[in-house]
Amino acid sequence: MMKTVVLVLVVLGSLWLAGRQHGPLLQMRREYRLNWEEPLENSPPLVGFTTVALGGFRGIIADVLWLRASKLQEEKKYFELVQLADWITKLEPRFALVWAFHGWNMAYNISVLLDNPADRWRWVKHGFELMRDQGLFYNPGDPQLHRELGWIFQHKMGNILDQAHLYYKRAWAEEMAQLFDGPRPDYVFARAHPDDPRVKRMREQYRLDPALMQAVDAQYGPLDWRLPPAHAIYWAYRGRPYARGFDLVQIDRMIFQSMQDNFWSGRLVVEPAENIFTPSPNPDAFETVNRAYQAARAAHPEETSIQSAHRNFLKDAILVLYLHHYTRQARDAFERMREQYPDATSARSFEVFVRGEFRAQVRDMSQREALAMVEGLLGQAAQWLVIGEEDRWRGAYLAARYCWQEYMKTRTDPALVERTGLPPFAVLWQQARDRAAARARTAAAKARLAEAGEAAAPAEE
Amino acid sequence: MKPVLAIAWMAVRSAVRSRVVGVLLGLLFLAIIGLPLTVKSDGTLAGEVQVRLTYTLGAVLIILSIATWWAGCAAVSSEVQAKQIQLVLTKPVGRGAVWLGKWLGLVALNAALLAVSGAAIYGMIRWKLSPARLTEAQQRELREQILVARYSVAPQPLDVTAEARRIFAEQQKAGAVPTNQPVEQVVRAIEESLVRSAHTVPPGYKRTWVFELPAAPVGEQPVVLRYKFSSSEVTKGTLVRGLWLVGPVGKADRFELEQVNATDGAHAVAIPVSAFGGSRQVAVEYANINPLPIAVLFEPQGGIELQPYAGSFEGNLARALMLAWVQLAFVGAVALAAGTLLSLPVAALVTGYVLLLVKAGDYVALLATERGTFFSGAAQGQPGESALDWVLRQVLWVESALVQPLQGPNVLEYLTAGRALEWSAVAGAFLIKVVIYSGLCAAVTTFLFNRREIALPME
Amino acid sequence: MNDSAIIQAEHLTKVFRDFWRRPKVRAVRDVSFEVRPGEVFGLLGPNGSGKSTTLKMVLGLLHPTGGALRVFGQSPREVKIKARIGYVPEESYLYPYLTCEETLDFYGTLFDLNAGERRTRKEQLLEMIGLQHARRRRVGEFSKGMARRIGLAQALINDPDLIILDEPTSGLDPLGCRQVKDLIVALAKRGKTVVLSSHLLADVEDICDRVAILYNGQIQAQGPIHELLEERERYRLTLPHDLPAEVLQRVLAAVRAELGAEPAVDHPRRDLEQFFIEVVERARREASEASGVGPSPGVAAYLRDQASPVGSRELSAEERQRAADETLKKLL
Repeated sequence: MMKTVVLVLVVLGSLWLAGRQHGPLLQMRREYRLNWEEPLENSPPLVGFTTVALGGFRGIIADVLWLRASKLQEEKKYFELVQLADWITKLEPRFALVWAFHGWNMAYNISVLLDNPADRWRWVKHGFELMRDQGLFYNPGDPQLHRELGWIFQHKMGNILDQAHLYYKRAWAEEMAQLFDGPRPDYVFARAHPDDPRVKRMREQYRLDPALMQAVDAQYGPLDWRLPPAHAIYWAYRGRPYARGFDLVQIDRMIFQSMQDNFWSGRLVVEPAENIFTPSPNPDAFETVNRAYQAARAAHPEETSIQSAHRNFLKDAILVLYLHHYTRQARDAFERMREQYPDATSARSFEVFVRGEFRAQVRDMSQREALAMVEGLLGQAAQWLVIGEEDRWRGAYLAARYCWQEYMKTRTDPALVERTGLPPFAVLWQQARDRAAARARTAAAKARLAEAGEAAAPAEE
Repeated sequence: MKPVLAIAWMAVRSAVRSRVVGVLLGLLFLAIIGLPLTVKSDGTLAGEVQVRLTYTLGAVLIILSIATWWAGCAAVSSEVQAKQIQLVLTKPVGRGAVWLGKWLGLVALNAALLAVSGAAIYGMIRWKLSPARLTEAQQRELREQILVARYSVAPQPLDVTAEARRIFAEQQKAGAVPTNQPVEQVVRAIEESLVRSAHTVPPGYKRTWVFELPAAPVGEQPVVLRYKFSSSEVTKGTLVRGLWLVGPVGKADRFELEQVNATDGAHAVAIPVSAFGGSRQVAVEYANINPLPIAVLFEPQGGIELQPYAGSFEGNLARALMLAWVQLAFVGAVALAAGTLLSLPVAALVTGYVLLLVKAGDYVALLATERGTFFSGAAQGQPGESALDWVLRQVLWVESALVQPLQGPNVLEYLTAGRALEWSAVAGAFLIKVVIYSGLCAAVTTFLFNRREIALPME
Repeated sequence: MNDSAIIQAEHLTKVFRDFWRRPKVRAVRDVSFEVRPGEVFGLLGPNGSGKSTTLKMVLGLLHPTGGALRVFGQSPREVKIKARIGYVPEESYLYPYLTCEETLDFYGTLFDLNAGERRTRKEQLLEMIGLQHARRRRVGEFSKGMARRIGLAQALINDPDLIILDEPTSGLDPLGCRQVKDLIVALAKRGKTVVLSSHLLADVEDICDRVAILYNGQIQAQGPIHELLEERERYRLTLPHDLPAEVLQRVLAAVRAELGAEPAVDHPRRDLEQFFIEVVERARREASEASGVGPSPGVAAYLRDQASPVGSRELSAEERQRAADETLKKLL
């Protein structure tokens, strides 16, 4: 009996001593990177169980499932792929690349093979939801996963390469419209009322932290959170503290490109009554982008590519600002461009520069091309008029008029005017308004169009 | 026969009273009811039904396969171990009769469990389809796309042999044929090129395929036209506009359907029965009316097929279960053969190996045709094949010849794609897997079992 | 070889080999014996002497390495002859999840008996072995004794001509032993041939006609039991207890005078088993309730010769008288 008691005590003591080694051993494993397997905390019981119980077989099972997924994808049988991706990733939850691959695969490779934009959008969502909701849950500090998630917003949804891109943007904007009104949440309200249903949904379903959104907006905005560039910046920014070396370079690059996207198309013009949904340039974001360029130049003074990119940006941005009637900002930008890049333009003044840019485009155009350009600009003006965007319709109108004038200047011979001239500008403007009025759905829009005759035309500034 | 049936009944009773059947039923119901609650689909209704069907029936087949594997291996080996077999073999019962009785017992149990599982799965599908849960349009969509049995009819093959030979003769006359290639290889390449060309639709052109259907389509169920194509556009997923025209051969009537499809995707459209005009011979035309100049390339194999209605989902499910039952009967025969001659663990390993070989039949067939796979460098371009590789290839060839007849339609794929599993496939599977292969197992096992000493001291 | 013999073994040898076919154990060496119809043949020997191995070869469960073995004139592996054989193994090799009834029914079916016949025999066997009350209990729940009884029953379901019993009485209480022995005697009287193996010599002595004693795989002695056990160099005189004392004294004096030594005189002893059985029978008659196995009416009707009473296999009175006459004849 005594012997048994002693043996039991010895066994218990040994177990206790062995248990005390567990912590230091784990620490050593982490330090020496002997393996990446750390206990999964807060994971669902089944995931925790399988990662422990299956042990080294996880890799083989994941491989088998992956082979099956590849085979099904080749055979264009997609119905099982969401589940397979879920299992494969959960078998190796710490392997961030696996999450990134399957998210990308669904968002890119599968979505593109479907005809219907709604079907495509469904798979794009499957892709980023996998990464956002689960990949980042198991790998909260992985910069690569953050970047891949941002990439889907920046490239798949934000770019125009996918024929269904407009559908993605519209669908995403509709989802965001459920969370906040306007282009961005009320950050003050959101922080003061964390349990508000919409705020809670924003945090829990979309993983958007209002405080972080506010910080991102302040640093890189103003951002329209109904559009993809804002979210690309958000996720890249969120992953930035964990990034080192090349990962950091890539994340910064993504933020920079998304900032530019935000300038070029980061303002949503939406008028549901008129079925207008147009991502358009965001002139207010000019300063942020310009500052970023300045910072990049300062950090890498030897990089000529940054300088030439900045110069080209300024040249294009001046026109955009002008077209949107941000004349003062356009003028400032011009001055800055001349100061920093004296060889960017030979124009001595802002007006000469703008005219010169338009003239350069218009001068060598055929009648058809010039007419298309003028009609296009007038069409834009009419469109802005319909939704009451005062500055924008004036800017487009003035640009159209200037193009018309420049083109007609080249037709000095009356015979040439008759043969290759453009119709009177007032006529073209009336036609543009008539076309827009025919499409307009509301009385207010029609009224604005009717009132914007020649007499109401903006004067040149 | 009475002793055989008595042994079979004994096997069933043993499984029931040892609670194996109870546990299996529990696992099966857990799979059928629990899995649909946990698996994710692609978000579409059709996808959800397909995932449910795949995983529930798939889990049932896996559970029953493993159970059959284990039960088959243990049926005789455990009785040898417990010496119960000694009492049986001292009765006027041939050893072959013992094997047959055990096998029949396994087969009967599998039939019962499959029937119960199949009924439960069907019930689950019906519940999913009930009017309380789905609109009529949704139900119709499912019944047309997934919960149906359809034949797959490929277009009539093109005979390009004469044309290929003519082209070859021309090229040979012009001195354009490579002299270091065998003639047949060059002719085959020309034939393939002609076939591809016949399936390519340049911008502004149209192509026609002729189909011979098993019967003129009748009834309400439309005929499904499935197709996939690539294009001259490098970017995957480019949307291409095309016009399908379907009608009986020899008549001008055509049913028209304009479609905008993504290249490299899989597409399906429903053609109403009226478009076929009561004819079995159908012309299907595709006109490339895309605004941008993009050529469309349909795959010669499987790029376009018509799927007329063959029967109901219920009948298809029943045939699928029969095929599964036949497969389980084969698994049971192999396991029982191993378990009759070997101890349980060894039998389990041997059976597992054999089943793996059968499962990898296509891969084995591929290896059997490759020269210099393992030991010599023919795969790396070096000429010749070592003797070891030659021997291995012959072994693989024999293996392939043995396992190829056992390959059959994947019942899950067919069911979820709405493809018909035909009675001929069921009969063929029964003949090959049950009559021939299981019969062979029985004969070989009986021969060896008769020579086995049952009461050795270690047993 | 005697063509009428039920079992004929000539120079039978069995060598067990290992996985590499190397000889490991020579379990049976050059064993020759035969079992005649209607006799009770005993295979005796200590553990590991080759008894069970020999029996298994007779049953076709093992194959002889050398020599010749015929059962009913055919190879032991012939399936047809199994219809005439009943086998009771030492341990219970029954299916534990079957009930008594189901066990008998199953084995009856293996003999291709029709349902009616199976039913009849089943009832009689259950009654014989005293397990009617446990007919629906699973065999796996039985005690060793009960399992042995059902094992016996399954061996007799086909009314076999040859019954092979491996250690039939081991693990049984004296009553059970007695019943088994009575059954064996009854079977032998009915013309059945019984072969049994045992190392419980007292049991074998009562019932075997002939025995073979094995040791180390070889037969050390075989022959009729009474011949083997008789001590021919001595005589025993049994006298009735009411013989007058002076007659006894005269007999003793004559013997004393002849031998020159004092003869041993004592009362003969019954064996303990017999005494035990008498006590228990008496207690039973006084209506004490026995738990466990119920009283048995004796051997099943279809196995019993109705004309012959159930009796012990001990020498009957006539047989004893005949043996005594023969001895006297030799003396005088």
